[in-house]
Amino acid sequence: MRRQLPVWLGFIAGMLVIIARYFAFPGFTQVQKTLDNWAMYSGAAAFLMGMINLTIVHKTNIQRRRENWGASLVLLIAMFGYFIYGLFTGPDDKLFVSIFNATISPLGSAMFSLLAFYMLSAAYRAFRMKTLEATILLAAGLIGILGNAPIGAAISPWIPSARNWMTEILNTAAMRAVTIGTALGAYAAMVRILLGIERSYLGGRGD
Amino acid sequence: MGGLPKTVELTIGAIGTLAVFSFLYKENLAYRYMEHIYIGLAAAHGAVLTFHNQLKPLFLKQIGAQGQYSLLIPVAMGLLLYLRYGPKEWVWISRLPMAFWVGYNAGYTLAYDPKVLLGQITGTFLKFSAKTVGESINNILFVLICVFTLVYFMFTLKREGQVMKGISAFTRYAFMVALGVGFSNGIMARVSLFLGRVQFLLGDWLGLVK
Repeated sequence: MRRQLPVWLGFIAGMLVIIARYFAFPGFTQVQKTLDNWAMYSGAAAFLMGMINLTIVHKTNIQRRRENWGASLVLLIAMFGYFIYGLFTGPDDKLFVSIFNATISPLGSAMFSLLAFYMLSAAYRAFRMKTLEATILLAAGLIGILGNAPIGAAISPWIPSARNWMTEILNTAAMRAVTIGTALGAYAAMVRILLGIERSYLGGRGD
Repeated sequence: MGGLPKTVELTIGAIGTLAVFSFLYKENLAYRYMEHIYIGLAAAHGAVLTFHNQLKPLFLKQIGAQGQYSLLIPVAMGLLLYLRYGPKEWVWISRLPMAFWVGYNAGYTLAYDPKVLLGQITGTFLKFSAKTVGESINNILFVLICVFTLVYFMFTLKREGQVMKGISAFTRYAFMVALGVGFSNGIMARVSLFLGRVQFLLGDWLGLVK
């Protein structure tokens, strides 16, 4: 029962959505709307999961005095302080918005922009001209980078054109094939989930 | 309560940005602390938005004012997820909402996604005889690369014979160009984000660049 009940619940929820979409049975539009609401509000009710998980992990760090436990303490103070303040004042409060603008917004951009350096470093390692394929990859990458920057057009006007052509024709065509392949794979995985063949998402030990 | 003065807001943002960039030199305490602050604040921000934008209107308006008590069922189902932190014999109950979400999303994908995919498939087969020769060549290339890439990744097909070997080689080279230009676009997107942060530091914060 512990394994079968969740599988049946998932099967019924999924099949109701499929039936509502493909068959015009009376009343099924309402069923679909109800399921949409259920998915949204049940997800909202689980809104504390992230904070609870973080609390468990970082509480353990502090208790065991692991390396950088001070950072864990700062995390918990920042998280609960901001959460309690936001809970009482609401997301439109000026200080709440101000803290977002001063921390989350710039730190998020800075974190993502760090990836530029790691991608460049990966490119340096991947784009070595050891084989013909690697040479083509290097040439396409260089034209792509130069074509995206003003210096490309300054060197030659055909560089941005070549970059656009490669993006619109070659890249789009290859990525279209990848999209079709992954979508077909995803559909197969979804069918396996609905039929209860794939159950790894339930976790646990087979009980 | 009033917000922070703009200068304070910018200075905190700048110190945070510099602390994050210090990771490029090496792992250090400033980065580690700023990373933890960011994670904590982001988690709290998400929870506050969910509470005020979804749960509060649900309880005050839909359940409280309009009397839609059936909406308590999904709320109760969502709350079951917290049982994973409860006694061991109750942990399995937390699988119920997870199974509902996964099943619902699997059904949703199977019900609504194929229409989008079919549009992409039909959109792939462009006219070979277009208005100009250049456009025709582009269309032929587009179709060939897409079909050959699909063939290339069918691992059940043996790559035997001149035709299959030719298709394999052509696809490999075309795919390398596609990956190269895709990768360069990815790099440039991050570089523009980095330039945005530099503009923030030198322009918004220090006022050196306008």
